[in-house]
Amino acid sequence: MPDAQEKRVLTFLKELMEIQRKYGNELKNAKTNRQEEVRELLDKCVAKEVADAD
Amino acid sequence: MRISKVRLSNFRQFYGEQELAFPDGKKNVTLIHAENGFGKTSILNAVLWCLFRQVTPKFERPDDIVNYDAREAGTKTARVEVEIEFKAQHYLIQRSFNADRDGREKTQLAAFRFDSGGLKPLPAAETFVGTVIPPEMAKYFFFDGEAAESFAAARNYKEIGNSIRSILGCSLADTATSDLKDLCKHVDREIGDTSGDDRIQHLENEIARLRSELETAASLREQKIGDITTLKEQHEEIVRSLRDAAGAQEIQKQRDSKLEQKRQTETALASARIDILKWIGQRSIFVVSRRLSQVAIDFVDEAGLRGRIPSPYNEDFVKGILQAETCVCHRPLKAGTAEWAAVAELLKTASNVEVMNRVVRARARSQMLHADASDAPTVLADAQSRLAHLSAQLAQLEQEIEELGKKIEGLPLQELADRERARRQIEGKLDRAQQDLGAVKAHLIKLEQQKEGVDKELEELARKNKRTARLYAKRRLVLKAMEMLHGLLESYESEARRTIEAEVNKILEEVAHKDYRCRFNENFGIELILNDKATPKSAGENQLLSLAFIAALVRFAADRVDATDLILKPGIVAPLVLDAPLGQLDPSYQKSVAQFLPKLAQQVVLLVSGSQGGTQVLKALEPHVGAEYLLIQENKGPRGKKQELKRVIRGQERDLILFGRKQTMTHIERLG
Repeated sequence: MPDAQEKRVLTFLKELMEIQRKYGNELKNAKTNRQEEVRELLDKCVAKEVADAD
Repeated sequence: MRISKVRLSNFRQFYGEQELAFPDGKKNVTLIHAENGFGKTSILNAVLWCLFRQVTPKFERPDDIVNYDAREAGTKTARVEVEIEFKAQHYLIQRSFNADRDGREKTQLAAFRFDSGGLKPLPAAETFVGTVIPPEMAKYFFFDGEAAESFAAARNYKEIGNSIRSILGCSLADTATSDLKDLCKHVDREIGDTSGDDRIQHLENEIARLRSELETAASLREQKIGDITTLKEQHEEIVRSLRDAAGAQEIQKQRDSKLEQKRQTETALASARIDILKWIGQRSIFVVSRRLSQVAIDFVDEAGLRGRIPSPYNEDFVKGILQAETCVCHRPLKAGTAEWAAVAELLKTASNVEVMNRVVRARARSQMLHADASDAPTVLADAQSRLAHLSAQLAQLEQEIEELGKKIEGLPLQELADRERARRQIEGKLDRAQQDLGAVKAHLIKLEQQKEGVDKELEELARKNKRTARLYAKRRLVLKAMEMLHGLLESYESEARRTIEAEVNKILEEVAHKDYRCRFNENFGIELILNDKATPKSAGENQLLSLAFIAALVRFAADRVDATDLILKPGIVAPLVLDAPLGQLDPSYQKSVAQFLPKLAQQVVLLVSGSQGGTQVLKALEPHVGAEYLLIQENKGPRGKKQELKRVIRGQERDLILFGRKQTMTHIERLG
């Protein structure tokens, strides 16, 4: 993996794990809320990737 | 986390409100004496139920919570309260059960913090408990007798693997992986819906099919690995019984020795095959070149002899003619004429010092190749002859092993013959299962390759469209994140495995009577190693290894309490509660393990019956015991013809069953 790409993946993974920790001990609606946040995170990261490429 | 008190209120056989207080200080062991059926497992389960609403598998009728006598008296509720100390604060966790709540949740959890002003309720009790002890880690701190006896048994390899992952705190990463998988499916659907390209659509379907096939093949691989482990254990059990059976003992001994020889021959055979492969890689080039180099040398020599190599025209000689503008036959050779050009053309192939050197070097190289090749066939012949000899030896050993098997089958003792037949059948199944596993693994590799090809083509097509390109960027990021997560998890797991293995070995060195070592096999099964060989485990050895493994897990969790790894939960410090931890051990082991038990965790709660808590054990534990309890069985009815049950604890004789009491219940009595 080239450096820039690896960095992007690592940033995504770090933020993903933050979300997992936030909902780690939650029981009510944890899955729905967590997955929604993960989806938003992916959109944000890809938008940045596209913007950087442009 | 440390438990300071447990209060039971009409919980199972504990009528009314009863309390256990746990010591705080250097004497970290709480000893609870109880005979079978008096409530040892109920105490362990009371804590588990209160914190997580979980119970151990041995806890029968888990929904039958309220004490019978209390129920008869009209009480519909039961409650367990656990007081804990966590990060220098004191908390009360309380779970109650209300049988009256028809159609509604019957149990309720509440948590409070002890403040100077009294109890302060915590808003999210379950979240708080999960922070103190993550539920997936909790079960490795609360063991009932059977679990503590057989935790390290070979058939339990999945649980061993799970326990390492749980204690390592992989649950966050597991949820993340599951979220990423869902996200990938979601993106796939979006790609399918928006591309409008038939080829993309087709390839997307192909990817979905391959993914599903990969998942099926991966789960089949796990199943086959499980089957092989079970069959190996069954096989080992039969062989062990044959080793112990008087009639078959001698033959089995011979078979064991032949099997060991077979194993050594197979290793030597594998090494001979590797030698041949190495030879092909390193020396075969010389054999091929031998013929070519000979042809080259012959050609150079013959052409040289005829004056063709190097060229018959010398460069200086031709240049001299051109400069003199006179041919060797003395005719004039004017520059620019056709004759002059024809002679100048000879310069292209004329011999000079450089060409001469090249010819000499080429010949020398050919000769070197020829010499190197000359010993190659001998090396190969040696390796082949070794291979042939070992193959014959292996066939001979296989035949002898087969005959020994037939001898056992032919023994007049029907039972032994049956066992041998069963062993043979299992061996056959094992062979087939190994072959199936090989086929599944090969299929998996093929599917991966196919998927990689389709993925590449899809990427190429997607680049042409801005909308799909963005979706593919999403998928690429998700897949790369999954790959990174998987890689990180694998490295953490193998590191944890090494650490725990080393810790178990340290404990075995201290406690075991023989020079035992432990080793994890590829399926996470624990093998007991004696004299560098995996040895079958007896029930006692299984228990010893289980306790060592539990201790290693607890220490590993404590060492990771401040860990801040990206994808893992930190470890925990929690009390270790063991029900009947010495059940399968003989007296000498009971004593040495009892000396070791207090070191297992910061707080240790031991539930022991009379058969386990003998004088030697109590003596070994005594310096560490901070609180001691006795569970006494009280009955409403008269003694009748029932025998008395007494036990001497610390020099004092105690009645363990009382009759003519107000209630039928278990009474908790603090000793000392």
